[in-house]
Amino acid sequence: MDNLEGESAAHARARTVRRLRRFAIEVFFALGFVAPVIIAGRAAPDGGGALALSVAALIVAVSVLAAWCYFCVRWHLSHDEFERALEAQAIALAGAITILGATCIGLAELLFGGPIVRIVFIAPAFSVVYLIARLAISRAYR
Amino acid sequence: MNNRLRELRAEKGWSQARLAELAHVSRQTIQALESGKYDPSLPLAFTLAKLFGRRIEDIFEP
Repeated sequence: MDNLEGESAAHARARTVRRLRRFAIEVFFALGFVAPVIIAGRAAPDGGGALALSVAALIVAVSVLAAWCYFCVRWHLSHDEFERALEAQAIALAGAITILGATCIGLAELLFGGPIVRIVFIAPAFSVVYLIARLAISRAYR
Repeated sequence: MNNRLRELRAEKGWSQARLAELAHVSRQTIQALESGKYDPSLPLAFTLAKLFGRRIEDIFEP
């Protein structure tokens, strides 16, 4: 029996499996970006020394590079204009949220003093927010 | 923007997947177009118009 979109039940099941697989892959990538940020945070505690800071900077740089590669691969693999529109929306939304967050943290630092979050984390934070935004936007259009 | 994509597709007896294949886009794109959540680019609108043998303004209306 075909559904409204003319798909058989078998096709619908296959599509659900593909969606779940894609979702799992995206969650895996998202965790892959979050993990380096957490590791970097632990590697550079206050008074951790120059070596710990270097390790943190390296991990953050790798995280940003991975996020950028992920975005580029997704963009170039997709020749579909709608997919690209979703990517662009996610980038714009993530940029806006990251800037807003950084501004709020900056204001909090002005009011309460002391560095709350290291500025170096803004780039990986953007990567994480981008992935969350991309997943949310994709689901909003379904 | 309103459109008659779903109606015209039903007339042709095409599934969303088939139309997506013919228009060289994803099925998600067709779904978004039909639900009115996404407006197509001009090249895609021309492609769809050609597939249905209609003018763009016969399919899409502001």
